[in-house]
Amino acid sequence: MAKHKYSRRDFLGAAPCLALGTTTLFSSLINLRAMNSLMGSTAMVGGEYKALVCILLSGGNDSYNMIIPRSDNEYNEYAAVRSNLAIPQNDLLPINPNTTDGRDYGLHPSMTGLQNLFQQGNAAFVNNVGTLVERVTKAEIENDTAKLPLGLRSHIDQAAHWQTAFPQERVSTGWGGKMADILKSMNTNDEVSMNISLGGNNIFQRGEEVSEFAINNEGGVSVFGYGGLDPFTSLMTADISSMNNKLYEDVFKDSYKGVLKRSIDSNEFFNEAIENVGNLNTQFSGTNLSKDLRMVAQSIAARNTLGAKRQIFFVQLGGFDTHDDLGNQHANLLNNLDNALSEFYAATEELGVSDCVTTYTISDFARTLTSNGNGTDHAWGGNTIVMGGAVRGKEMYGEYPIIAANTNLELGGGVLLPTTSTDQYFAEIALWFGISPNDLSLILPNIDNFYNINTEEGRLGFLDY
Amino acid sequence: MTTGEWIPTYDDDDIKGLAKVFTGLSGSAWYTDEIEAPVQFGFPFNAYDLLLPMQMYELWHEPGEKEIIGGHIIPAGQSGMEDIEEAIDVIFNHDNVGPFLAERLIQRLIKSNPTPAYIDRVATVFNDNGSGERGDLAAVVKAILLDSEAYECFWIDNISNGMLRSPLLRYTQMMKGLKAEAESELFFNAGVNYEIFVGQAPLGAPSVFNYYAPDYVPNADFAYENLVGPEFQILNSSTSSNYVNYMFLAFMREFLNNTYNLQLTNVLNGDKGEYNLYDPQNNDSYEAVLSDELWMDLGYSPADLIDYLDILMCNGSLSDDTRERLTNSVSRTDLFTPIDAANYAAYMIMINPDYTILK
Repeated sequence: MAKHKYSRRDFLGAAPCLALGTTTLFSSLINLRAMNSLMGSTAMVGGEYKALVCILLSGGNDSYNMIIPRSDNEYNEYAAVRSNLAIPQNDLLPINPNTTDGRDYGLHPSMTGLQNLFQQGNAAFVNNVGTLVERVTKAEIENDTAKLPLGLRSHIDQAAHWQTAFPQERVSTGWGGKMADILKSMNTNDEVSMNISLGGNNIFQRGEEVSEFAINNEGGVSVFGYGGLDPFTSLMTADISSMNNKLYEDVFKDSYKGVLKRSIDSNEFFNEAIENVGNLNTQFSGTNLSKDLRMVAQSIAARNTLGAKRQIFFVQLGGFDTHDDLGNQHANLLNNLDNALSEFYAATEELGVSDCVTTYTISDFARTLTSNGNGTDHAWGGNTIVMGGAVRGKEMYGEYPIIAANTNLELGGGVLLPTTSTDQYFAEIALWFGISPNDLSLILPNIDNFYNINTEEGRLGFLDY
Repeated sequence: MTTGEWIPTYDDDDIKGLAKVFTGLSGSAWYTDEIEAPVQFGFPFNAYDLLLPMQMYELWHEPGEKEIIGGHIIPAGQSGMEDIEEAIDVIFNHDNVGPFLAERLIQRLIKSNPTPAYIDRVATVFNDNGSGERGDLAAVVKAILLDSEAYECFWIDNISNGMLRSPLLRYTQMMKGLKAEAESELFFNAGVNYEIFVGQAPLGAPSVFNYYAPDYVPNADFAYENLVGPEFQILNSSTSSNYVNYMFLAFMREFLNNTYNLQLTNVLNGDKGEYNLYDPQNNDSYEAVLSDELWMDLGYSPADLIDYLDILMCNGSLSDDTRERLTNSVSRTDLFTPIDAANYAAYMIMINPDYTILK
């Protein structure tokens, strides 16, 4: 066996040495998981089915044009700072949160579906969320005394931080992958990963042991002829299978064949499971996001065949980097998102699992409040959508900021300092998904800076657990 | 600085300064000459002829002073192209460019994890080609290819050595290595199909970050060895199987001759006549397969065929057990005509880790 291979025992044995030699999350996680397995803290009992759907709005969603203040004073401030990009006040789709901060809000006019979902109590918004290592003030940032995420306002770093929940470093595993590492024994079949991606490879779903199973919106990709019984396909199957079962000392070769082998093993099983459940009655639009979410719904429908008590899905909608032509592009993107969300929610109702599926959005960052002429640039804190029957909907969580320049949150150039951390946002979701409070810091290493598991201080409250 | 902290090269103000520098650039000709209006600034990019260089529209250029990297001030009042030339000179002369470019180019040409010393040797040549010239890319590429770390056998078994050949490199190597030919000298762009299968096409990256990050860590094994494998970022459960499928179609189903309306069901049925829209003897497409002549030259010897492909595609690194297995497989005269046997061998080699991984 190759030198770089290791058993779980080697893994744990080597961990203390590794921790001395490196400061990466990788090594500390091994220790933490070792402790976890000894303490057995996260319940491994069967329980009900749950699924998470993470939608990455790639490029940086201008979310202050998605959820918009509608009261006159706040709207006027908004219109002043957003100038030519402001959505007309009369076009806003009113929403009426059960708990009010005294102001009225509305949605972008292309989001009628989301308006309905919100009003019916099946969706909520979390406001001014952003990557944070610890709580910081505008003064601390200006004095250069704040501990800040790496690569603020850089796409590649910020999109990664929303997936890793470890913004002070560039790491290669994500919190969805780590949840699956902890929960994977809940699924009775490991031929198909708990983490299914419609958006290709991603850090979010990558754990130490679990990695994402990437499919396209028509299902898994089978190797032509593989498993066939005639003389030719038998030979081909034997040759490919022999290649995939060979152990390579070389980490590159072994990883390449490992991806192919897992692909062949999983796809066969997965596609059969999908075929067995048949088609949904719910109609989906022809956009990629809608097709992707239809496949998510079909994967959920196949959960029993797949032996899945837990599923984590990753879906992407790109094109949000609207430095130019914001008005038209953003309206189209939000319209596609709106249709896809409504269709997907209807599908979960058709399948009778709307209370078991929680969908949430992430994005690199929100965009500058100020216009660059015809678009907006990279900023920081922004608004997100949470959808599902389990969500305490028709509510806004996290303080909605004043949309204006020169406030105590505006850092210059129309960038808003987030008042809710991604950790607070994710903690709620992780706890609902079945991670025990004691395990929370395994997947969200900075959580203690924002949320006290004993007093529940810092809890947003959009999901029960 | 020895604290191991990242040191940012530029900040937000530099980005704003550079954004101002590039204001006023837009397309230089309409996509179709049926539009009679003069070319204007700022139309959607697909309205322009993208094969022509962009042009500066001075009216749309920010005339004020710009501060960019390193506190460099670009004075107010220059023409747009003067601003751009000056800004590019500043970037080009930044100390980071040599090592940055050296590492990226080594990662594309030789290996994913070059040693700092290798990067340094190449960066030194970028900084000065020996005649006092900075940025001599021919000298840089020569330095990369002729470095001991690139060619010494000593490196082959080093754990850090290797790269996953990108799907595009595999495609071009297949076409060149196997001597794709077209009688008409017209090559159909079968690459469109390839992109659907493997998720990569020339100039088609989904964002300015290209298809993969230079520091992408594919899995725990790579992390354990502290290695990166950029090209693995687009190798997943879909693209890995689909690459195999493309090679199957290319070699076993003459897919490359069949440029449109592919009916997979027919392909899978194996009935070439059903789906092939072109008569291979009389068409304008090409054969990207081993030629009959070559196969004859090899004397129809399965062992010679595998050896030939091993040298051609795997640099002679095919493992012994794989060689033995494939030699036996292509000896199956009950299954293969001679040309089909050659195609089957090429198919199996193209999907084998001894080929897809460049050591």
